[in-house]
Amino acid sequence: MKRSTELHLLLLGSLPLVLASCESSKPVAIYTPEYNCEMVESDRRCCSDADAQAASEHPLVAPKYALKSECELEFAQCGALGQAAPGYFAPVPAGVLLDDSTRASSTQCRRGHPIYRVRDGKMYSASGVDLGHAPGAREVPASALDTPEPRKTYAGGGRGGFGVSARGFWSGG
Amino acid sequence: MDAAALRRLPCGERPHWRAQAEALGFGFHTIGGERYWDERACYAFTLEQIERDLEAPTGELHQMALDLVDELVQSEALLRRLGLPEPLWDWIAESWRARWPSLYGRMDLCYDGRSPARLLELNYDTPTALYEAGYYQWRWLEEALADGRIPAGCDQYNRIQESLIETLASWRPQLSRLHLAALRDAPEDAGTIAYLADCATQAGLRTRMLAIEDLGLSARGELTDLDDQAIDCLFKLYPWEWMLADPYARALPGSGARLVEPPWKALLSHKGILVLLWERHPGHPNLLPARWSERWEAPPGWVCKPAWSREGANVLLVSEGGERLHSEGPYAQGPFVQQRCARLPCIDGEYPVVGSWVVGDQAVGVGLRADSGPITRDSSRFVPHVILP
Repeated sequence: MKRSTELHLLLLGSLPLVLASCESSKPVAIYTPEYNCEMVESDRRCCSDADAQAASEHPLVAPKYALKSECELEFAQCGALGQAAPGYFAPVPAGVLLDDSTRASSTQCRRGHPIYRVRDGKMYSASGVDLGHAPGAREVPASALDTPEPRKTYAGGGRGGFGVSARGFWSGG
Repeated sequence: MDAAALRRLPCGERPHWRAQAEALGFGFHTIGGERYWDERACYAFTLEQIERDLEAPTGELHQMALDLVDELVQSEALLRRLGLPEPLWDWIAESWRARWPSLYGRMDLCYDGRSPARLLELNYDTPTALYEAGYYQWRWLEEALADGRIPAGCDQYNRIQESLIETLASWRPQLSRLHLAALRDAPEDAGTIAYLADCATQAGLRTRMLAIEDLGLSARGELTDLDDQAIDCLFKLYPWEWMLADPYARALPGSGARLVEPPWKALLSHKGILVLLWERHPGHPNLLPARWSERWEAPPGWVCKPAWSREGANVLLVSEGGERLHSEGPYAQGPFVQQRCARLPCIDGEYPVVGSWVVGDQAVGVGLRADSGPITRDSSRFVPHVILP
């Protein structure tokens, strides 16, 4: 026989064929004014720390708009940004995302990051990753935790140095 | 010589094939509203045609191509002729001397069932149509046999997937994780790397997929993925000639990453290879006469192709009678090669080309693509094949 007797597929069909979504996920917890921090964090001190971290990060990472109306096209609630970016408007934080990976042991606090709610009610991380509607503990794509702090790749290196020769017409051979 | 011409056997579509293809990850079965996968008919070979006319010549042509690489890496004049960037010559040559393994390649053959198969070109760097040849075609055969759509006892020349898994498994002791990258927004390419990731997983490797555009470079010069993890081995479905022209190209030799297809395959992407093969094996029954050309021009009975081109783009075909046919495309710059025209057989109004697959240096199967015209383009349809009992 010139053909294989048995073949099967393990992943195909269940794999999303969108490269951006083929990333790993990370455990987090999300809280909002309605579903408050104590629902996901037993230590109240950690809650106030996370609130403060998210608030100080907000002006640095929030999507910024020149016009309030522009911001309101996308986000549920917008306001003026403070001193960090005067004259700009940004969505008002809708809650805080606690990053489990910043906790080395169960007695330590998790770092808090601001999250934003769009007009249809879904929440997004500052890096633009869809976090869904519901607060609570769960897994989110790792890129939800992208922060403006320099990552290893950007330190003296970078991304985007391959693919530029493709000029938009490429599809295999 | 077997006098039987290649036959096209109408066999009727399985009613559920579209839904099945989608469920099995074959999302590009229809392109622009037209069938890409076409099972209304299949091509029928005899076992002798497969073994004598396709399998054996594929093995021989592959060896001739490897011998040519061995010669090229030792000749500055030839490397210059191919126009690859000089700072990377040493790295390319080193990848050959160290025999960095190759996973796969496809050679396109003109074959009518009667005369020897002729090499049209090598697709040794970024061949696609792999999933449909390696898996879906096999799946179709099993079901077409069960349904009685094709004669009982039909076989297929197809050990492609099995060989991919064997080859990937043979890398395992040194390699635990394989990264696979394709251009973002190229769904067919994403399908190809997802299929290879599937094969690699079956071979016991861990895999990660990412977009070529997202490849990073760390401060230490390593290639990195989206988690900033250093990449040990990268399968890139992206042409070497572009990779070598990109801003990060100079960082490749020092990155410590092993690349698949290996750098030495860049040498075989250049269509000047067709000229060099003919010069070394003049009159070989499986080769077509070929020569360099400064201009995009061809005398009657010849084809002109740009040295760097894909998907049948910018091909000029001049018939014996002087009639000119050409395909459009973006590769207008020279140099060019001229190749003696081997007219594809026209069977029931379509022009099939045989894609003969090499996996881990073995000839392991074929997949046919048929076009409504004599220049096979990216619009051609994939048609399954059988070996008649």
